[in-house]
Amino acid sequence: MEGVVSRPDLWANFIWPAYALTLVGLVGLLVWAYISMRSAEKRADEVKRK
Amino acid sequence: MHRYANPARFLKIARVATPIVALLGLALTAAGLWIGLFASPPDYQQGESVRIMYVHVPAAWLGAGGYLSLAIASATALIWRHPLATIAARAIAPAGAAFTAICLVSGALWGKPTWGTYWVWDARLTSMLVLLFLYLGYLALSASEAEKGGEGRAAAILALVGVINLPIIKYSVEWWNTLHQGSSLSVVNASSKIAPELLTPLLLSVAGFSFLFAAIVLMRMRAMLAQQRIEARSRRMAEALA
Repeated sequence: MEGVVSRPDLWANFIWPAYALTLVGLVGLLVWAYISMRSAEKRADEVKRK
Repeated sequence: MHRYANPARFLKIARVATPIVALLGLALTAAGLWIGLFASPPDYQQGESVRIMYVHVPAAWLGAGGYLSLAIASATALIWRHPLATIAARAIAPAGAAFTAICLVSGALWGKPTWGTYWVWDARLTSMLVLLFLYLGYLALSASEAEKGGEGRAAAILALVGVINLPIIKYSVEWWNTLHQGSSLSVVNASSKIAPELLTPLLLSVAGFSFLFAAIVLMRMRAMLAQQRIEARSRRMAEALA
């Protein structure tokens, strides 16, 4: 695994930056969608109880 | 279809489906990217840079496919006034814009070692950039309409007008002499010019990204429906106090 990460051909071909940006984008989108859903549903439940 | 347009019924299904779809998406994406990075061989012509395909191609398909579903949801909202259609369209737009942006950035990173440049005003690249602008236009317009309490009709019309860009994206590599290569996979003919060792991780990534896209849309729809419940309850309380 370590040998693969440090492979110069994967850096030279922008493989790591492309994967890193994609994963940051996907995970960021998932986390944002999850947090906004949880907080909205929590607020809706609180308003319903009032 | 009308049966599932009921928000309460939709929420019942969405609460069960969301974690399943999200976990499937994470597992398939992890498997696809892992095989693509560590187990699949380099391409005989492109060498190692072919590995960008495992993130670029699924992102491109979902960017374009997401726009088609945005347009279908918008048409449904305009024609049948389904209560969930506008919410679905508004939930699809940010995910579609993000996948289109991922496609453009990963494509630029592939272009540098392959073509010697990050960007050219090639028909495929330019039409994908126009797709991103259409998403951003839809997001801005629907947010402004939602703020004013509108139904999102202007944004829905913009989404429908933008559909003209989808065949341009698809056939740009055939209609014009482009730097971008032609399609290697055909869903219609179920044919592929890609070797099975490279096709397996690609299909896993496509499936994984699709499930993640669906999970994001489901979560956004649930958030918007909860927001609607809060607003409706606040209005009722204000009316009762008045």
